[in-house]
Amino acid sequence: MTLLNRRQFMAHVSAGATVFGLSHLLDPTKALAATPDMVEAMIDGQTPKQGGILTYGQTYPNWALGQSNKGQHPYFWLDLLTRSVWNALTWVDEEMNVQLELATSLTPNEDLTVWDCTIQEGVMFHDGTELTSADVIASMNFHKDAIGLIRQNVDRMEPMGKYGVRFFLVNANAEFPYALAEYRAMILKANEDLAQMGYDGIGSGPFKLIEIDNARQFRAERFDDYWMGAPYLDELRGVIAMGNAAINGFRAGQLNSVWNIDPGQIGQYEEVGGQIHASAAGDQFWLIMPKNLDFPWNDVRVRKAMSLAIDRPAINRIVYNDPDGWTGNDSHMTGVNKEFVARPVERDVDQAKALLAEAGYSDGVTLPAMVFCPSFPEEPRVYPIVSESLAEAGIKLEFQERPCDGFNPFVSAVNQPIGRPRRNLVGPRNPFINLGRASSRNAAEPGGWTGEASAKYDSLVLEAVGTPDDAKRTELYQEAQKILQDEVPGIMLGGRRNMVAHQANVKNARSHSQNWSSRFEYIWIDA
Amino acid sequence: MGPILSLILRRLALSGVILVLVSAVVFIGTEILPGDALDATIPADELIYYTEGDLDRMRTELGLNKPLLERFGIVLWNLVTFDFGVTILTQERVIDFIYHPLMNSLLMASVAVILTPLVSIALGIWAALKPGGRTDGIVSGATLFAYSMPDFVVGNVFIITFAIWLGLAPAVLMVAESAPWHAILAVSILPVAALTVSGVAYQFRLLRAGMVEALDSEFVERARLSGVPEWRLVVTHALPAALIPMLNGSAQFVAGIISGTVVIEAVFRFPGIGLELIRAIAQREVPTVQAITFCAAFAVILANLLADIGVLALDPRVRRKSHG
Repeated sequence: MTLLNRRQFMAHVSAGATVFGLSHLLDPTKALAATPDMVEAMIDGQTPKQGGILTYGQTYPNWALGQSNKGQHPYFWLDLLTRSVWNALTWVDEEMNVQLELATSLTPNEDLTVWDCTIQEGVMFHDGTELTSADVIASMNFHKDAIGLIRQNVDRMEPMGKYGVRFFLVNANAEFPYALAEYRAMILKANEDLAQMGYDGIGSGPFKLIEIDNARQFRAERFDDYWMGAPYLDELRGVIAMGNAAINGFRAGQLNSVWNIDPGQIGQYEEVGGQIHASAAGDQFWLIMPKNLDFPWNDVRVRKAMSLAIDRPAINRIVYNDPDGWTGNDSHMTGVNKEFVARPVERDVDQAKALLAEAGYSDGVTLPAMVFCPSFPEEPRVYPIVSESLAEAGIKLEFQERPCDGFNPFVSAVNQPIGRPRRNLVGPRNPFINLGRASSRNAAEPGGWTGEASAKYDSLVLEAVGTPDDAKRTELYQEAQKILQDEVPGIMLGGRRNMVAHQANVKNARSHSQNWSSRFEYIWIDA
Repeated sequence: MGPILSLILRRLALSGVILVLVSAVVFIGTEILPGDALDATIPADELIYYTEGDLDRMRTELGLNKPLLERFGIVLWNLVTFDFGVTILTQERVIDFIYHPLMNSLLMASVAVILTPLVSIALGIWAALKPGGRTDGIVSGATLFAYSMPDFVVGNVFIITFAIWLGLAPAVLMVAESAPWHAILAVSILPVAALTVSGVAYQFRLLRAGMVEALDSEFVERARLSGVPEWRLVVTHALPAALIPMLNGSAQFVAGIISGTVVIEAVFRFPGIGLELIRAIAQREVPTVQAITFCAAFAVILANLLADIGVLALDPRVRRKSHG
């Protein structure tokens, strides 16, 4: 079998990057500097060793199908750290720039509605078959069938020979390459029966899945024919380690890394020689307020009062020990986005009370309870701060904890399509994906936000993503964020960073703002 | 029909009655008080999301619109035939959720049930050989201390000591829920040991008291005077008599193992029925809670029945009573 070495791969990728055709999106200087073989760039100056087992604890429970013991698809255990077993056409780097991964070129037509993609030749799946355009199309159809961004973006596809695919989009989209880097855009081995796609666990990633229990753990071994070159580790093991299991396993030496650690336990990890890597941002908590039932927050003044009353800096200070961290701006944008617009006022309890009084709640207001599941270990410590700070303005909001297993069916069992008041988890992304989530076109998350402002917001976001000019697009995105701050269709708490703790001999274990963009090719263990 | 067989049949019939009563308690606890299963699933502050029509439809689907006795009859029949129905939220078979966890817990509890009397007997004999001596004092003190420790404390102390400090056992159980029995057992040393602690402490105290009493009794004294060696006195004369109070305490012991299993599984993240029960309670999945509660009660009743038969085999006084 012909396997590309890293240098050849880089030559292809660089060539791909040069024809990428979106200079406004992917600054060529930056892209070519960052695209060079991410493995070589990372290990520069190191003397990596081959071998060893990385056993990581994952504090985030499998939730993708809402029931871990029902979600038997191997993809759903790994959806947070997907790139251990699978690859996508593109990848978002730690600075949130999109890079080519399996794609060697990705070129739009003039109006950004059709994208031509060529894929790497000679990429082998774990079963020894070659990855071709048929697999790409089957995978995209599989992802279209489920939830996610591919369904929202892609109208249809057609093959262009064995190594090319043409994507026809629903709307012009200058940021389409970002959608192809999503965790629900991994390339799986084609199967005639779409419903069976992926159950074999076969991917083209650096590790080959050999055992998985979706409720608990998986085991994968080095894939020697990996198209980027075999990874350094012999084996990768992951185990869901909730509660004290993560720190206990780490202290016992059973786990040599833990992803998404509890920030309150940083000291305990460091005490036993653990090293921490924190990304610039991470998954965030977005409060959804359904407005299709008779709730006080249907009045925009109540929603604004809530946003003004929540003490976000206190969350950063108390939970994250990060007093200078960014705070949510009531959009899905995070501090890592350069287009991010901070709210004009961080907190103003008096103004919140005044708004409540204006809305007819001068004696305070009781809101319907919100549900959450403790997806991240510190999460149950966040909401008491929210509740207490709201109470200072006379707003009573209770947060109820539910188990993560069954959370999805539970929240969507009533009041469809919006469901119960709850917090949703949102990962940091490019502006279009971020802002698209608050759009009325996204049925669930805006919580039934309608009206003139909502319509204007939708058209602004769509106009922005179809605008080739970088500066103009940023301007439109910023205007859209200001609408959200005026209307507060949902509340973003913000400030959270993803963090990984690893033992000192584990090299290059890095947390990524997008968990699913963490990579394992360059991790090695110093024996 | 022989009197012993008759006694066993009577005990079996009694167990059946207890099982029906347990089913009634489970039914009353989960379906009637303070409301029905739907009320338990939907708290009052969430009723805003349902119309009266929705609630009526759901009640019909769950069979909650039927008369109380008919519902009880259905629940009873389903439980005793191990047909646990479907979950309320996702309409999936309860047995599919609980089968592997149930088997895993059964495996862990079985090892503990076998191990606990063996350790208790060994310690009981050792301590009773010289009542009031140093060995007796140390073992009695240690077991009293262990007995007073809640299971979650024992579990965490074991993790800290044997997994973190000594590295002798895993702190995180890396085993699939559907793994074969030997793979489950291989990682279960600490959970089984933790589960055994309070049982050993309890049974040891019963056995020790029985041993001391038996060794001090006239029939043992007579045997001692006739030159029977001390070890034989202990094993063949005193031990069978001392085992009876221990066996009589079996129901409590097995119930303790079951409740301990829930706690120990949560501490060790053991892939068993305890975690499933906690999840079902949090999800307010009444059929799953009913199924697990019933299985636990069934295990206690079965253990009690086996203990009764054991007492019958060991205690001639009970056999004589059954004759007369």
